Amino acid sequence: MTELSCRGLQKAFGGLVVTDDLALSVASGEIHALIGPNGAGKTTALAQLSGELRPDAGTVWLDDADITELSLPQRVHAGVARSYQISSVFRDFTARENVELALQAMDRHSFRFFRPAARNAARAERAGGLLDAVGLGEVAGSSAHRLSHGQTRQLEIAMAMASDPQVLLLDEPMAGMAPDEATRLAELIRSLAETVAVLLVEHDMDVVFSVADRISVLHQGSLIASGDPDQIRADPDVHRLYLRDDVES
Amino acid sequence: MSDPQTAPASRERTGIRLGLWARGPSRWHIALTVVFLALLSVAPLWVEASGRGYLVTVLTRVVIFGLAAMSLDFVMGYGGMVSLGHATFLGAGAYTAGALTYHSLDGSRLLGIPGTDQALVTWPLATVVGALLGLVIGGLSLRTKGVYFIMATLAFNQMIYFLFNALEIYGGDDGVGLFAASRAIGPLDASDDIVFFYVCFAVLVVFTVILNLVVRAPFGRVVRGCRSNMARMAALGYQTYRYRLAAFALSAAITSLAGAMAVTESQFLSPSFAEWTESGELLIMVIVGGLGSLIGGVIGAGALFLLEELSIDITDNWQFFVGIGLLAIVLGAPRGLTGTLLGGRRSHD
Repeated sequence: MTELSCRGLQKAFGGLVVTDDLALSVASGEIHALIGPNGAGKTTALAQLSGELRPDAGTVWLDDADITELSLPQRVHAGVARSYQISSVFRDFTARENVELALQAMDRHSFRFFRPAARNAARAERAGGLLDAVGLGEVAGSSAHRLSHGQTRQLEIAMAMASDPQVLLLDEPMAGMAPDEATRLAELIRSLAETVAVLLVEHDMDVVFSVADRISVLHQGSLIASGDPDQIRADPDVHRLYLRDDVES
Repeated sequence: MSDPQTAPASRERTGIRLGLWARGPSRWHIALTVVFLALLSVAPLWVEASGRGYLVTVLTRVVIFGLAAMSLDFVMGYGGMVSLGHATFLGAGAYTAGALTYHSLDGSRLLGIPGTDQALVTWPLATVVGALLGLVIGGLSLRTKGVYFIMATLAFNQMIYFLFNALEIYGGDDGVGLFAASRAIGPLDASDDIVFFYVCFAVLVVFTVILNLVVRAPFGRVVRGCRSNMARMAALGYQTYRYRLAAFALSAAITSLAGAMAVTESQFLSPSFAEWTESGELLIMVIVGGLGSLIGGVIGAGALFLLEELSIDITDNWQFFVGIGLLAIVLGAPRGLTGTLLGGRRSHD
């Protein structure tokens, strides 16, 4: 059982407050969705949880450990991994090499100069396993730039899973996906969440309301509501500020 | 589509242990490397036999500057670090070896140490100096990005250049001749140009093998990943700075070795080794030869020196033709001569 949480998170860019006294938590076994209109500060919040962005104030905890001072790579090693809204796989590597590179990051160091990386059979096998798990087993040898958009999103997940994280921060994993691809990815995320804590930033409300155990709504950097899908659906503030007619009961 | 990366495990065992034997597209790249080095190895015998023995020293310079260009390609083509300051390291190596040689001829001491013209001392020492200087310059320059990195490397280049210019003891901006020095390499007397060529060629072969292994090793994968997407590398858990710095220092060390070899070859020490136009020339060699191919640096050096030799009879302004050649390549064959020879094939795994 692992829990990632933050308290009193504060971040401003110049005069613009993008995160305002934010408190959140996500525990293994649950999917916690973070929603809100464009510019609400979802991605900024995610970046502070992942370690890419330093908060001006506040604390990030992994269980009882204060990880606020840890950098992005250090947090990955501590068990917090993330994926990106804009796919950022290594385009001139094959799908397998992408996952192998992610696996290799978990070695104590990569100052290994002579033995070819491609000859690590154990790593190749683990990469194959991860690719199978996300449904990319058949295209393992394809260059990443030949993959479809949906496949690239799946590859993102496989790479994030390579560090064997306890917490997974997913930034709009379904963005730009065809509906059937999105459904499959939702199932995958659902199955990952059996063991991992998943914080999901997502625009597709159908997906959010079908997979999330908990939903938090951000507006102008602060939380205006948090609760299970039914509570959020019924919340008048959320309706007024964000959902409007998006979600029919 | 076919999959070069999933060769059956049984081939792992039958393959050559050293690991240079690559599968898939990479094989063509290695074949090209071997063929070019083979041609280069017989070139001095051929020019000698055809009565143009004066070209042997040109070939030696192809080898030496090709080695420097290859190590620049390592940081640039694989690491995405465009350095406009590699002449810094060329100069540092030249001044390390040149100063030691100068003091051995002079009988004086350098910082309390007697000089020597023994290449087995001066060359390794130049390599170490290059690595240390690479750590310092890379350590600071790599805190910047993109065009600022280019400018930072250029700034250091200028500083070193003017430092060498100010060294009156080694002739200031005129430099100093070291013609009385021996070309001793261990017990071997390499004063014969052909012998010296083969010594340099052996060094080139060693580093061609080393760098080709490094780019395929886990370290090389990390460096290549950093070129492609640094933010993502950090998100995977890599401390990208230290890998990029190590790659930069390795490149600086090899370039510095080339600088030491160059001064042993020319027996003349001058700040021109460290002039920033020299950095530009190394860049041209890499781009002409093919970015991200290693051997391209040597091929580019060959093309450049050949063009110089051919056009110098026609005009003193041979650089004009270099310009035309460079334009033809960046417009018509952006992957350089190597890329053209290999077709669209990838040059590494």
